Amino acid sequence: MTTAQVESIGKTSASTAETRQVPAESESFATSEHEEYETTFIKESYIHKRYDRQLAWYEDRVGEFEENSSFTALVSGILLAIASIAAAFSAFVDGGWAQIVITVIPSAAATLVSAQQIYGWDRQAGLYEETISRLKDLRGKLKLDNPAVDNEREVADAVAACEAVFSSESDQWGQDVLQSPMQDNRTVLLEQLDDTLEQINLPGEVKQRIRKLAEGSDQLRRTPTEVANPVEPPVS
Amino acid sequence: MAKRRGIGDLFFIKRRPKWRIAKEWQRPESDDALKALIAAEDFVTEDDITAFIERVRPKNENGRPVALADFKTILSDLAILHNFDFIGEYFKNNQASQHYQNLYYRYNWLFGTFAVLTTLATVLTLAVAGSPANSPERMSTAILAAVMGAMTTFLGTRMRTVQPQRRWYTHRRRTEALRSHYFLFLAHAAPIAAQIISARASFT
Repeated sequence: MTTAQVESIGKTSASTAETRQVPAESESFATSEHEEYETTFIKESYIHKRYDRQLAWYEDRVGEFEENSSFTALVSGILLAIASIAAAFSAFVDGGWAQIVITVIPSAAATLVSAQQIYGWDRQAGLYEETISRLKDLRGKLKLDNPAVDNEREVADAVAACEAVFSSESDQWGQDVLQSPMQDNRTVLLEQLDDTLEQINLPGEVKQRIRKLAEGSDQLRRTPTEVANPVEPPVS
Repeated sequence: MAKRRGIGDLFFIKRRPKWRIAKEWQRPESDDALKALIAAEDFVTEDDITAFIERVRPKNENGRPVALADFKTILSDLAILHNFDFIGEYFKNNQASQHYQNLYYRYNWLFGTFAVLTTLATVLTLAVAGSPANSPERMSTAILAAVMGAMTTFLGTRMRTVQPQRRWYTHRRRTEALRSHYFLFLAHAAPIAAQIISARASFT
């Protein structure tokens, strides 16, 4: 397979959601090439090897991402609270160590906040939940579990409809992570970090460094053009 | 039922980057190993058809039990799909995607670590600012801050030039597109069904 052919496959899958509706009857191939038992086999294989496994994969990932997002939010919050308390007591404590501790703690919290950006848990979990919901809807609509649905055209249309949902998801996730705005837990944590930095008696340069770290390395690394046009082209 | 989750599911344990993942996919030496790889990726194999025949015991229109060889259309499609041009492209992109994903996370982990260390080194430098200019503590903290800053800058530059995230996305999308088209092709479903005829013509 040539690179051009693979590229064209990528472009097909990157078509818009509007073009990925369940195909109209006239669009279906339905050559009746498959024997009836072959169609039954294709239907069973598709449900078992593609639909069910992909659905289980999405459900597993949603659980994992939510767990990570909650964990990061909790630990960052605790660290920032400790930093605030340490900042309040720093006026009574003399010595460089106190200064170091109240600098390192917000830095560590900022690193955790930036993990949210790098891994994109909140956005990804939302996207996967939407995909799960669409897939479950389709299962009912297309009567995938109904043994009576074994006509070649019906099975082909069901496969096309499910694949449209998978394509829609895989088209979005890369773009979402690239252009994801600061939000959800991340926004709250950044605001907490700002409050804490306000209270802490640190040189401006150090504060700025901590803030930049928390903003996420992605933002810092993007070129001005990418920041202005954050949408990732599907396949160049 | 929701899966029970433990500390092992947290990202810094489960998703921590590996030191190295190869970029190039190596074709297994034997055909059997390649078949096992295809099966492990949840593609359809002849073994699946055999298992289906044993379990369902399907019959043809004349009421006679069917054998593996009677699944002519599917076997013909699998021959096209499991041809190295197609399946090899899938595995190549899958491997490259995993490589760049790992690289992206690895750079970010190192970047974050060095950024924290740079902050720490900067504070240490300021803490000893009152010492004489050529004192060992001033020298060592200044060197430490410079090294950490340089490492952070180096990693940032590498990220900009290598662009692992962009490459990861591109390869992952191609991989998923190929997987999607595999099943569309097998089911003779739109939108690529028309390509089946031409693929067969060029393959045979």
